Amino acid sequence: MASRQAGNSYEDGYILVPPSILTSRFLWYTVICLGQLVNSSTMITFKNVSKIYPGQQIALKNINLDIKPGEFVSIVGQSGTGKTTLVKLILAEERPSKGKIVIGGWDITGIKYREIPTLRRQIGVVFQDFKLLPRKTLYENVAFALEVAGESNEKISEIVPQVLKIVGLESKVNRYPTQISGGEQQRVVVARSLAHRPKILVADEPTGNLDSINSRDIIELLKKINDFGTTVVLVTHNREIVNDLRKRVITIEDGVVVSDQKRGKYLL
Amino acid sequence: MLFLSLSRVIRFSAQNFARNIWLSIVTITIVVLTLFSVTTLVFVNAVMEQAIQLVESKVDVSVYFKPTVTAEQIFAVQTNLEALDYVRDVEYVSKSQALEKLRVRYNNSPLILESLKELNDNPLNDTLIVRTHDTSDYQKVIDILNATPQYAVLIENKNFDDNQAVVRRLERIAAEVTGVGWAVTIFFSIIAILVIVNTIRIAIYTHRSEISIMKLVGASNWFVRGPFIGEAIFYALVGTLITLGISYLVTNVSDPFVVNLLGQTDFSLLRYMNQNVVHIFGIEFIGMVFVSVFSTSIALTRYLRV
Ligand SMILES: Nc1ncnc2c1ncn2[C@@H]1O[C@H](COP(=O)(O)OP(=O)(O)O)[C@@H](O)[C@H]1O
Ligand SMILES: [Mg+2]
Repeated sequence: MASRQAGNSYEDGYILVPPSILTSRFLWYTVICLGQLVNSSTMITFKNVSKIYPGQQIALKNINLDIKPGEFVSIVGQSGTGKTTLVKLILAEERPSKGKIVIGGWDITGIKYREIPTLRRQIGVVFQDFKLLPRKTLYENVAFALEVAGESNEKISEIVPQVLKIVGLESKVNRYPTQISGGEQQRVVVARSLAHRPKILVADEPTGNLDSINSRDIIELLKKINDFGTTVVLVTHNREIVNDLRKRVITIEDGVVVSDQKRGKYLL
Repeated sequence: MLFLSLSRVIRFSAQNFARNIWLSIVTITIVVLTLFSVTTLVFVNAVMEQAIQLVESKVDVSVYFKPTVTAEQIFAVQTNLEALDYVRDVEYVSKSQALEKLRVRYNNSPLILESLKELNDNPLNDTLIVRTHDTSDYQKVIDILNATPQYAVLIENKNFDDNQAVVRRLERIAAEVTGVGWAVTIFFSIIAILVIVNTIRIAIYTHRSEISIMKLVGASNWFVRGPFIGEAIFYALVGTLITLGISYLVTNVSDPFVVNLLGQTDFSLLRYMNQNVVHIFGIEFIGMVFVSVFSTSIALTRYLRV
């Protein structure tokens, strides 16, 4: 009887129903350990990564990074220090000249051309220039990202209102980008980047064109997304934002990581 | 899933086409010019071939017999000639038939008719008209007639209508026309390639934000390129249809002249077109799809960097 009860107590969440307490307990620990292993594994890993552009322009030198699932990381540094290059390496828009890059357990160092779309569907991207299509409504702009990735029409009509609601624009879905403010436009871009339910959201200076109030809104949005469990990588050189966030800050200077703090401040 | 993507690719193709409407019109014009020069080439070749056949069928050797020769003797010669494998047929025309033919032929010339009437004796000869399968075999017939002594006694004269020279000239003209036609076609094809490359280049430029978004959100490479390939196929399709329309128009207008020119052969360009329309324009469409997809690939590899 006892063994049965013990067996039942392990049923929830685990497929394995052990025949005896002993083995079940053993499996139970194994599962926990494995779970911790998964948890402790990293979402983004850079190992001795250098990027040298044609013409001997060294953008990144020997970068080592470990970003864990669910982390919120700010990457700061002056202009021209290689922050965007780092983002492009994550997206496989550029390839490392040296070193190894692993995203979610997938070594993308030598990623094949035809595999790139699969990678990008799992990473949401937000850039400084808004990059909304002016001839499409907000709804159509978000739907476009799903359409071109081959999502079904039913799925599209289900997801688009959801993500537009997350960014608080559910009432303006039929407007065109010119009919909303800059901050709202950037929120649509965030909504679009969420459409694929990415595990990682990369935002390269998302507040670069926005005033402080709109910037704050965007950052709040990113925090909210991070709370859902998405790993967020925020590239910025906005001091206030970084200091208010009280999250991990990686500082890059001339292509080198000069500091990596758990609850960082803007150093420069 | 494939069908869904395909329908989206087609929709994006149509948008590409519509968004640069003037460029699309220019592109289609050059596609039509190319295809029309091919069609013209096909038509001219068909007409020339008919003309050559017509002239070839008129080449013959006429053997005129002396007045003393009897019909039996002539039939014997006819039988011998017909036995030759390169001879197609041998026609016997008696002198009275020959005179009748002459009367019919000069029906409209009273002067000649008068002079014919004034003859109280038929001055013409009994004749055998020899036709061979191949124009080059006429000389063989002449040689045999010359080399056989028992024929020589019977024959007064023989006449080899040298239409072969006409045939050769026609063949030369046909070859030249074909050469010029190909040169024009190749010229237009090269222009078409340049124009399509440029059109697609501009389409890529016009859609650069869409393309960069597509790439960033993980559209497959096929999906990014598909609309441009679709646009290329669309140009080929619309171009072929317009060429088909113009060709029918031209055929309709020119057919009376062609029928007149080749009266005896019972050849009609319109009928030729109707019989071969699928063939001609099917091949032209496929050829143009190759040309335009090839051009688009050039533009995509050159201007659509990943
Ligand atoms: N495609 C490129 N080709 C050559 N050099 C480049 C290229 N992209 C960036 N760089 C150079 O690499 C360095 C880092 O650029 P970037 O990563 O854009 O910096 P950041 O985003 O921090 O401003 C700069 O010196 C820049 O000029
Ligand atoms: Mg940058």
